[in-house]
Amino acid sequence: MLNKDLIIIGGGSGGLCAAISAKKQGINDILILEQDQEAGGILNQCIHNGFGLHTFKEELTGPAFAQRLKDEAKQLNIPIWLNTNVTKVTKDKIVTCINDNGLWQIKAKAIIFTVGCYERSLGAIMTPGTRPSGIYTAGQAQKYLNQDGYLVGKDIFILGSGDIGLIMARRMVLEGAKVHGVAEIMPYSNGLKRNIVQCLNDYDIPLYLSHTVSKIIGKDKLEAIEISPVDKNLKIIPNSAKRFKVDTLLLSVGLIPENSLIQDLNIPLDKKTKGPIVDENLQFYDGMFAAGNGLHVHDLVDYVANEATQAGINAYHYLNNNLSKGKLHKIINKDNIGYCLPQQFHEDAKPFKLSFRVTKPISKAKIQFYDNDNLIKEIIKLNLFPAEMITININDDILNKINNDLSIKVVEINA
Amino acid sequence: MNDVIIIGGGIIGAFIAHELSHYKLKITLLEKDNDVANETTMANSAIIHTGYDPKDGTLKAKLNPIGHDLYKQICKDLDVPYKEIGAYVVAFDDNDIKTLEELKTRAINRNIIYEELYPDTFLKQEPNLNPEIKKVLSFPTTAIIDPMQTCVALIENAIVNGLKVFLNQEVKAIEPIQEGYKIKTQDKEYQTKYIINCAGINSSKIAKMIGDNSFDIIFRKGEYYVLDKKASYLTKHIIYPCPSTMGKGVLIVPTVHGNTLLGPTAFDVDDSLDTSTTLNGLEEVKTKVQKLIKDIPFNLTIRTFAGLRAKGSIDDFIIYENENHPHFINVAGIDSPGIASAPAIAKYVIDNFFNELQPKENFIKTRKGYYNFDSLDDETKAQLIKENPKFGHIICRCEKISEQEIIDCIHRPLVPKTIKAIKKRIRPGMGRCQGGFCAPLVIKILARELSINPKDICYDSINSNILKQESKGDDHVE
Amino acid sequence: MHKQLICINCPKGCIIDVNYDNNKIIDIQGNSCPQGAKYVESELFHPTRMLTSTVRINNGIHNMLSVQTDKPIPKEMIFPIMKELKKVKVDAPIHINDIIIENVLNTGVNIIATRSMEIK
Repeated sequence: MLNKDLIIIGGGSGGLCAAISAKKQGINDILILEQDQEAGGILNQCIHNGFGLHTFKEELTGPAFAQRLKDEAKQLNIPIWLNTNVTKVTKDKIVTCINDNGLWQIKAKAIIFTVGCYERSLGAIMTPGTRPSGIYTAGQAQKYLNQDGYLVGKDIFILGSGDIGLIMARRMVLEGAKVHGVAEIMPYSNGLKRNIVQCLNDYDIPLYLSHTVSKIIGKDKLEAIEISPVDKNLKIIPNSAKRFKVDTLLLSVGLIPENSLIQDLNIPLDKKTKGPIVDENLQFYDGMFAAGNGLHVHDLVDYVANEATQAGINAYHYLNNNLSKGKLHKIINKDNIGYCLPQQFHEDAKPFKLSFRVTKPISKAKIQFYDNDNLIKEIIKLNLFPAEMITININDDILNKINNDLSIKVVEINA
Repeated sequence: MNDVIIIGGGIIGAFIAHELSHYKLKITLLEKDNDVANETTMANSAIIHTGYDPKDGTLKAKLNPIGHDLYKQICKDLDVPYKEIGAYVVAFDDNDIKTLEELKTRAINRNIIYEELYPDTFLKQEPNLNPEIKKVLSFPTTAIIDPMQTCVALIENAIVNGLKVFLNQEVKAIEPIQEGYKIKTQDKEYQTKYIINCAGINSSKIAKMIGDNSFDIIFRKGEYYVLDKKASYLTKHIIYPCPSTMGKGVLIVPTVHGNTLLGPTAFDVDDSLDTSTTLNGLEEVKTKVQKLIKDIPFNLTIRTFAGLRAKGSIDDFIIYENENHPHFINVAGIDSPGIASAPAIAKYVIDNFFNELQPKENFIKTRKGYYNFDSLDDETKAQLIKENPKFGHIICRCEKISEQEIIDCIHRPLVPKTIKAIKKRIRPGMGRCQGGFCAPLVIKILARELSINPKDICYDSINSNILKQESKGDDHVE
Repeated sequence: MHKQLICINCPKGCIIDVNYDNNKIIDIQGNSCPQGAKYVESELFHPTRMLTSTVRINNGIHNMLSVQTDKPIPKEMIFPIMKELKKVKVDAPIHINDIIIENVLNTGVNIIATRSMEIK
């Protein structure tokens, strides 16, 4: 059996940032395990720009962002095993992985899970109709186009107005396809305004809000789709379908953290984030940390980078027996809070960043913190969107007032 | 001139072809699709019923128990999964309990093992069952298989023993000739002494080609949910409600691969191509299975699909030799318990419609199954990687399928050429990401192994190419 | 002339109504800050975009190499430049920021690689 101080599972942006920061802190014996043929993760296929404004103070494309991290990891002599699939992790931190050199068991002192996420598929959204070819997740079509150099279709419809869907709409048009429209089940888009303008409006691609794909047509090959408006409960309004003759349906309907390794450990996941339940150190089990899109789905790679960098630092403190311990306080999500991270913190916690999502767009709100029923702090915030993670510093002025669990509420202020 | 042509490469055609390949015959199988096991065989509950359900006096009642008993050995010989997980038929009220009594009587008469269970015992076995269930009739020898793998394995083994298979051959016309029949497909002609019509949902269409209008096929749609392996805690047994006239009802069925199937509905449709799921159908499944187990994690759904059962207009299997056309044998209306009866159907066809067959001396009985690398212990995995490093290259992350397993699956007697054919055999793309990550890699492996352009790789039927054109290639048309 | 634009300067996304003639804004409504007016002026009279795309590459781990313009280009140049990119095929190895096309279509803008790619 091999021994390592720190194993990082996943060599995407999160894994690279975690490794870089751990190495800079002083952990020397690090190994990154990456299942793809190159490090950098999904950024390698996100060739559009808009990444890195926070991390590098300039606007980079996905591959360029990944390149900087790969170059830095190389400079720091951090080993990466590519084409390596982790099959098992045990609670005493033995990692089993396979690659073309064999099957390996490695005992780690600490593990950081930067495992990323996968795209929700057609099966998961249960759209009625047949199951022909011509239906892909946006990310899959993106890989075929940006890395392999193939278009999956000429007449495209896109379900879901998340950023990947919007970005792919523009990419397909630029490469010669016709994008007939984008349907979004919610009354608002979860994509960035800039992407609505520069990916849809620039190319006259209609966005159908409060609409979803209500039927898939075609036995072997996709022939057409129908979209229908939905009511307030997101149920399809019958007899109002509009048909589009398309050969391709791209799905941009959400991302799900990939946590089968953690589930195999019988460690419960947060039902909302679908990631592990972490404390303020991003630790979910003794010596096991999580960061990036495997912990929860982030808006920007910059936030992944921040979080993973922090996980690297925390792993260093863990190895030096320097992390907060003791009793845990839970963080309880109340009104208008979709989910919140961390889900718990130690009684002797140092100040930390708390992030949360709201469940609906709110133009002006009071964010309230309670120790049980006692209001201990209130902050006013403007323009809260579900698609945008809100981050608040939990400083000593809050920490010192917490004796029980910490509850958070977002109260809408009517203009 | 063929001795026998089998029309249809579903599990019935496969069993008959396999059975006939034991004998000195020239046999050909014609399949209209781009792969075998592509219609009803691909979309069903995959259960080997014990045979308590069919009414006395029917062919179903006769063949189902025999078929059930043949499966274990066949699956062993062909190295495909067979799991005897047992089934519970549940009763909620006195009416149901009366039905259970009828089933019990049939089980006794047909020598089928059963057990009567009450809440104190069945809730220990299956704690998630609805506590309102009063009584359970348990059939411990009810089994599950993988119908697609079984069908492919039978055909692979039959090919080794001399069967010829032609895909994409849709039968358009049949003409009696002096020595037998001439079959015309869209682009070829075949001659044969015998025809066995196992065309499933299209079998009455085939029979009508020689003027036989004696039966029709009703397309009975069944819609299903497939749940992620994470939902496998729900039940170890197959859970049935009490049967009704529309079939065995909506079930909860563990699959041999660890997923859970919920379904099917039973709704008759007019179109043999209508394998679409519907809002109502999926809603019906949801409502009905929640009666059996209250807390079902529908958020773990990885796919919904629909299949058509080929229900005969006569309320039994329709197996006969046409009186005006000797050696034209219809094997039709094979709805539930069709898969369970299939091995017995094949033997029945041979016993009743063929005379003096000469067994082959050199029949090859066994077939090596797929590796199923993920299920092996670490030592064996290490050894296999040492022998072939491609076992160490995982292509499908969800189902943990290695490159070498895909290569092995391609280079077999019936070469799978499509993404779906690979998926049906060894499951890349069957997991929670539904092929999002692995399909691009499977395309590359298929193209390399078959020495064809990636653009020519289809999802399923010919012309269902995935990569439509090179974005910046020489083939670009302005 | 009248146009409605969504400002992309901040997440608020003001919907701005503007009346304009050939080269100047006549009146503008809906913006919450001066940035909005600036954005509208640039969008109306000289809209520019960064273009990111791909070119073919020989002997790399992928068939395609990701590239971008090193400066924003006039919006109407997007499709002409996309056409130029079809004509190019480079060889690995490539280093990030290598110039793939110099002064593409005389725009004064270079097409540069956005990643490095070793020989496979």
